[in-house]
Amino acid sequence: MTLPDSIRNFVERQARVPLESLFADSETPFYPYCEYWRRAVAAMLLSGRIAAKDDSFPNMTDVKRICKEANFDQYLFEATSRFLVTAKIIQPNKQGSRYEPAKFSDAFWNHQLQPLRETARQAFLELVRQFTSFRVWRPTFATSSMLDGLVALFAAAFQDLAIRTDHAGKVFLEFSKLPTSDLIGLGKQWGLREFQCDAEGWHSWLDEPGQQALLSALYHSSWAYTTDHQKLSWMYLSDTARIILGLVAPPELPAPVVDFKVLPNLCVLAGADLPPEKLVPLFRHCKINRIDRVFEFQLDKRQLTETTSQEPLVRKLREVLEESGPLPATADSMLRHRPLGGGEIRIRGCSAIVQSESPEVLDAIRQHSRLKGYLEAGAPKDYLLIKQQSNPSNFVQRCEELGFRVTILQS
Amino acid sequence: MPTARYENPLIVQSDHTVLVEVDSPCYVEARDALARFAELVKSPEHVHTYRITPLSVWNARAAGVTVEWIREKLRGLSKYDVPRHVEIEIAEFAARFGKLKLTRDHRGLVLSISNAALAEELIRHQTVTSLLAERIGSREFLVEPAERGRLKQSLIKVGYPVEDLAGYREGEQLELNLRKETRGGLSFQLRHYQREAAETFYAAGTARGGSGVVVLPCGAGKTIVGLACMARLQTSTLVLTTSVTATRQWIAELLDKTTLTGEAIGEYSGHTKDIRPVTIATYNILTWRADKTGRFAHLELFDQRDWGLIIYDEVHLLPAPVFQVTAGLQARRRLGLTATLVREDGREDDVFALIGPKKVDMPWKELEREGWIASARCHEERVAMPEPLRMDYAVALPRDRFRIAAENPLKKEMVRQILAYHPHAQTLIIGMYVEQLRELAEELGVPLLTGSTRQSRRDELFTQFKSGAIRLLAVSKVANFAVDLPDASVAIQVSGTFGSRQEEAQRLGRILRPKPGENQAHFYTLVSQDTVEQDFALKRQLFLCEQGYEYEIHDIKQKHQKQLADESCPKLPFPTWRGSNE
Repeated sequence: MTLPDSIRNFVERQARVPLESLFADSETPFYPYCEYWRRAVAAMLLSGRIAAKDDSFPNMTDVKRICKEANFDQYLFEATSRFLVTAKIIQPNKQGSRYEPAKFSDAFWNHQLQPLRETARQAFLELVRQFTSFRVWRPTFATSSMLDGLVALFAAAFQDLAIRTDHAGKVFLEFSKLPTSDLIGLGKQWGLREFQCDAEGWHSWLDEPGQQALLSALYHSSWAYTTDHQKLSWMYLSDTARIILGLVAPPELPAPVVDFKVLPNLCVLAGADLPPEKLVPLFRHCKINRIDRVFEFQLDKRQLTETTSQEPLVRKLREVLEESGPLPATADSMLRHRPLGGGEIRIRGCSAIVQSESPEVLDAIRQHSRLKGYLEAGAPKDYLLIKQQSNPSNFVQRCEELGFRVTILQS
Repeated sequence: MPTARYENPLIVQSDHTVLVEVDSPCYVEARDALARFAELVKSPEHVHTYRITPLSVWNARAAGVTVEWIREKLRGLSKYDVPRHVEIEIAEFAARFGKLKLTRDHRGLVLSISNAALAEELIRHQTVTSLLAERIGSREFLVEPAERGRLKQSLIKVGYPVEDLAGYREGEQLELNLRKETRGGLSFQLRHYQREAAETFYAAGTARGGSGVVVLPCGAGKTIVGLACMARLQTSTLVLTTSVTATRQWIAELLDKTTLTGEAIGEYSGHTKDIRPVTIATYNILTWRADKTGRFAHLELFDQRDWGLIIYDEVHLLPAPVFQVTAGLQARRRLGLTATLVREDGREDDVFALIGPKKVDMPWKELEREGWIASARCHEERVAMPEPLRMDYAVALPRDRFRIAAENPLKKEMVRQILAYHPHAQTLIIGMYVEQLRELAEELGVPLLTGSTRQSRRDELFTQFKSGAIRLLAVSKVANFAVDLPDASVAIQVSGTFGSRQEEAQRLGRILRPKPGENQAHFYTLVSQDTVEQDFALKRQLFLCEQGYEYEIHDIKQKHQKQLADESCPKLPFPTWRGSNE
């Protein structure tokens, strides 16, 4: 498509490289938001192993712990979880302590493009808001700033081109200052149905902090990536952005990875496209060994003990695993085994225990009229128990007066 | 939505792991293809895991496999698209192979590097530079022969394999052939996989062969592969083994299946120090020294003859001092034999660098299917802890818990039940704790063999067991390795060395020799229920599970066991739950 003159001249003035020179083989575009690691992050959030903070984003101590276990990049986790929460795919529960599915959860898990488009655009604007300082005045709220329209026009103008990362903010600002009529023309030319132009408002948004907020929102929504080329960093808008913004048609959805097997070595293999009802219990109760298109888990006694002190939860995991076929004996036995937590215990108190050099000495104390009052029944064999309400120091003093040599084992 | 090629067996993951579905109709094709450029990591039932590593790709390149062929196979056999970066990285790994060559000419041992920039990069690594003798060109360096092993080790660590084409010393010549009929009068010929293993190792006598490791299950005839390699090379050979018993078995096999006579074979052990054209020595004697700071006097054995081949039996047990000597023996051919390359100390890489790459690795189950090793059923029998012992266990220090659980007295009853179930089978009772074994042996009237049993008595017991004069034998860990007891078909493991995977595999190996008739072996491992022993048992079983064996787990019959516990145990030293309640 031909660009209006002002826009074409503007593009030609920028430092830019064609995307094909950055990547040896051109890749088929990815279907938006269907990557296995994004589904893994969603499942980990829903697993209950990560607490939600007051600002509704995940507790980073929990994130570090689970990322270490799964050998997963915690910064990617942080960015992805911010997007999932902002896009209303996951939300904190009513108590605000754990996560639960939100309005667009089904659209995410089932790859429904239309609702995903709607929520991703809203999430992008919401991310701009989150990254914008409250102290700086803006003419509009971020959510009504229509900055997604600006990104759509930008993507149309810089099709198959990358620009210098360190210039990106300024290029956006200058781009927004181009004649409004040409920008509107470009939008119409690309058939951007949801496009709305607010050139005046855009300049006010794109001061330096605004540029940073815009770029951060682009990266967090996976709408833009950077790459190194000839010792310089280059930024380009992703296929996800182009598909979400309606510039290109989505590719075919990749074949779903739905493999599911429990192996005798207690390893569980589960495809990333399995429904959350199957994935979430695995992320909750198993050790996460590998995050890839087929997730790999390990049934681990310690992990089961830590997460499943209640019988129904073990049953739930068992039901899920049984859907993969008959369980191997090793797995069956581990799940049949009663978890260590949750049994009944009884405790009795005492103020001290007494150990003696021989049964004779023990008997002498037990029989002594001035000592036996300190003792109570039910001591383990070879020991005496001092009553809970008695002061052990008095007992020690009296023993010494009576000629016993006393050693205090522990204060 | 594009349809996945669900009938295909491969799933290529982004971290270079490849999952293979065994039930796929294309499994055999996939397995044969992967064997050329990937390493088998584990092979439990249903899904096997391979990993494509720089090392595996270099091995493939050394065998003439091209990157295009690898890409074609992966794409053709995968269920889903192969991640693009995996293809790119395979190409990058492959490009590194052949950039460094070690050759020998009139100047001596020369390391040639394909381009000057790489040469500059490598000499900036301190560990590499210190092993290079002299720079003789922009891309060539002289190397001291003594540093050949260490240099290869260092270069691999910085990501560049050396193609070692410097060849080997031929060693003292020795005429040796395999017999068609054993001295015992039985027909003898190599099995197909033994012949292939020997040929792969020999590599037509070129410098591309001559060093490497053959991984075969216990009972599959690793010794025979060793004999075949010796026959191929016709050279004096030093064989290193784990025990005197193993040494004697090697001697017996050499005499039985080759044309060698007794005069050509020497034993070098604590008992005898006889150096002949074929000498069998133990690791123990080689690493013996008078005190902790003394020198290893017997390591000189490596230089006392012009050995053309050194065979490391049970190479996964190679002790550290032998590793060090082996680094200086790169001019001699080296063959490692083992059933498991798993080293509990994690030094598999050193085996690769100093002995050589893995040349053959046959999955256990495949040999079982072909009938070359006995089919084995593995059982884990869980035994209750007697109530009083349960309390001792609960309050014991963590380090004492394993032993309390392992020596559970109720295991004796379970041993009796198993023996009654296999009334005619040749049975080994294997354990870690000698006291436990002694008690068992006395109660059952079974001869006991431990580390303190004299060699003559050991030989006598093994002979009696082989001849069928005795049906039961209790053995400690001295019989874990290299003991050939072909007729044993049942093994009962009453205790083991914590979570040692290789010990479990070796112990199963004692009963895998093919047997006449139904060719079926049974391996029982007795474990105290709800104790740390159960956790260790699980860890021990992992290697075998990964080789395709599945354990049948039998929980105790609670009632029966409780009854036993109440009847057979002394009264409780602490008040019981019921008691304190009352």
